[in-house]
Amino acid sequence: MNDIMNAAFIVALLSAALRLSVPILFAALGGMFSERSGVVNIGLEGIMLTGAFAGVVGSYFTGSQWLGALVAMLSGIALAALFALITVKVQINQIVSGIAINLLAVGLTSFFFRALFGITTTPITVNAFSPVSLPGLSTLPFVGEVLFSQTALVYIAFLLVPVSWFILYKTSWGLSIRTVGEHPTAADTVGIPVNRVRTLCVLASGALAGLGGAFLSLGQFNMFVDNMISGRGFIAVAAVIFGRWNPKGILIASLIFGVADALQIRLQTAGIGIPYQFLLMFPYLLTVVALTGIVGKTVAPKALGKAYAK
Amino acid sequence: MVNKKWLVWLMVAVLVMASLAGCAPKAEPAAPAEPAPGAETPAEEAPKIVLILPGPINDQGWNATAYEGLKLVEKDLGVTMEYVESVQQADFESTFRDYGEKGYDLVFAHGTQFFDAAKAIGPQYPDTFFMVINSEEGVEPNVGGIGIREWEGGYVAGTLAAMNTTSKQMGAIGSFPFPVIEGTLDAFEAAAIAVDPAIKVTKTYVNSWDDIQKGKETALAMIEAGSDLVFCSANQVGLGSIDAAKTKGVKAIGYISPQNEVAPGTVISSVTYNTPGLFKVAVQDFLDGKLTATGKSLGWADGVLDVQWTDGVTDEMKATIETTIQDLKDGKIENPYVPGD
Repeated sequence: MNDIMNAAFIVALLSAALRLSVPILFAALGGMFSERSGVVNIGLEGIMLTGAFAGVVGSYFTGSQWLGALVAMLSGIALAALFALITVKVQINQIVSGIAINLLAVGLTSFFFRALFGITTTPITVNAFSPVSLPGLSTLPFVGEVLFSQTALVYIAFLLVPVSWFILYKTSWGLSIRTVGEHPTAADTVGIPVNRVRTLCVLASGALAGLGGAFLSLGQFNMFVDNMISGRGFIAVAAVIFGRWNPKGILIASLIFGVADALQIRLQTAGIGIPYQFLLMFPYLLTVVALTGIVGKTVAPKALGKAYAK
Repeated sequence: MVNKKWLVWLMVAVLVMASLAGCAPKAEPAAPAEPAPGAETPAEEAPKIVLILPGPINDQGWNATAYEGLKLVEKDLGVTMEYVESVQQADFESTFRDYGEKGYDLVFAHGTQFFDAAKAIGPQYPDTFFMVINSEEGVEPNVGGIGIREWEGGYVAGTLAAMNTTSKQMGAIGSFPFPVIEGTLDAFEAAAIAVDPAIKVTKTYVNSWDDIQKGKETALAMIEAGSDLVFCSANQVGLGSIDAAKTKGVKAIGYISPQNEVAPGTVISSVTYNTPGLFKVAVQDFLDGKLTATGKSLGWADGVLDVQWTDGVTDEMKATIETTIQDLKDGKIENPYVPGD
């Protein structure tokens, strides 16, 4: 017990929490734009997986992790475009379409990975992001190690929080997005192209989720393995709700998931005698508790999940 | 509106085809010279064998070894096998029924988790033999098991690990606390303690076969708490733990498939399963008509476990390991696993 709760433990815990929360944060911010405009994007998981795969492919063929991340975003946008076509234009049920996207992504990534690299005994490795210590800041005690010795994608993820907030609440685009999600008919009346706004928001969610996937394959590792997202996209969907559809809330939600997961791992390895089943359950338990009590009443965008036809 | 409907159906068709493409059985392309089954050799029809896998064949672990088995059988015995990947628990029975219905001669199911389904479906298709990999039991007349005594692998890994730790603290990661995985980790621990009673092994389960990030974070947590060697029996999760060891500059032991090349200098050696050998033994038995509806378990003595060395291991260590392996072959070491412990 005594080696828990000392400074080194806390620093290590928070660094791990940050790493675990970043993929969720990327995807959840994307999901937020989509949901704010009225489209539930449950396909985040599949888009992340595609991003993770495309990131590795991009980095493999260009030799640059940055181009890899760009390819990941483009692949996310491509898959999101398909999703937007199905849900916004053709107006099929959004949940069903989202599930289809997830299933499609598992098959596509696995298939193309083998088509490109064959059945390998050792993983194909590519150039990936390495931690960047911010000069000056990274030497700060405690926070320096936690916050300022991470990969570039981590900084980008956290920068996206105020950027998203600004877009959503301080620009006319943001106003359009929110209006379309709350009252599409009213938006239409004042000349906002409802379905175009929704399509753009879905594409944005694809770009961000794709980047979230690339964070796993290029920011945490330098390889792709089948199904490497392992449910983080679904956690992101929960984080959007938990975060009450705003960037600040989503940041907090993602961090809570990250801390819970990091704590779970560390308590288990510390061997403190709590049954590991309980510890594995811990992040989800926390979610349930938070959803029922702490976050208060959650109010979803009114037109969420409803397709808009004139 | 008509064109929209048309688009819907196109969409659905594309999605369905794309997802089906992922799970359709793939026959391994037979050697070009070989005639199609039954085409030119009507006298002796080629046996119909299929391999049912719980995961993807490129997981660099459990499923990859089965795929190698398929290739080994094809190369050494000239028998072509089909395979289906990523079959989920809910589809076990229907998959068995499907191949029973199609009159397959031998159906391999890659993992003990398939046993209950085989037990339920087997009796309905007496002409098909269901072989469950790693099952320790069989059901008369046509459900059998063949497996590796995985604890023997964990034991050798533990012996090797114990000779390579300086902090006397090591981490062992398992996927799920199934008896066979628990047994492997327990054997790892028992072997380490047999070498040096001062060694402490931290055992952790990640409840996943493919969450590579969780594997990495778990290993990082162990290393940050003082472990200087990690061992992992959980398929792709193992790649994550090796990556963590590499990042932190500590050692790892490769497991199940040869993982020395994954991180040279970090992975000091790999204890490998010769799972392909299981398939060869089983298919040979099938061809000889010697398959029995019992659980058969093979260990070091049967050549289904092996070590892939690197230069990071001294001759002295190698000698100790050889002795341990000999002891296991001779049955001098008892399985330390106590179920339910």
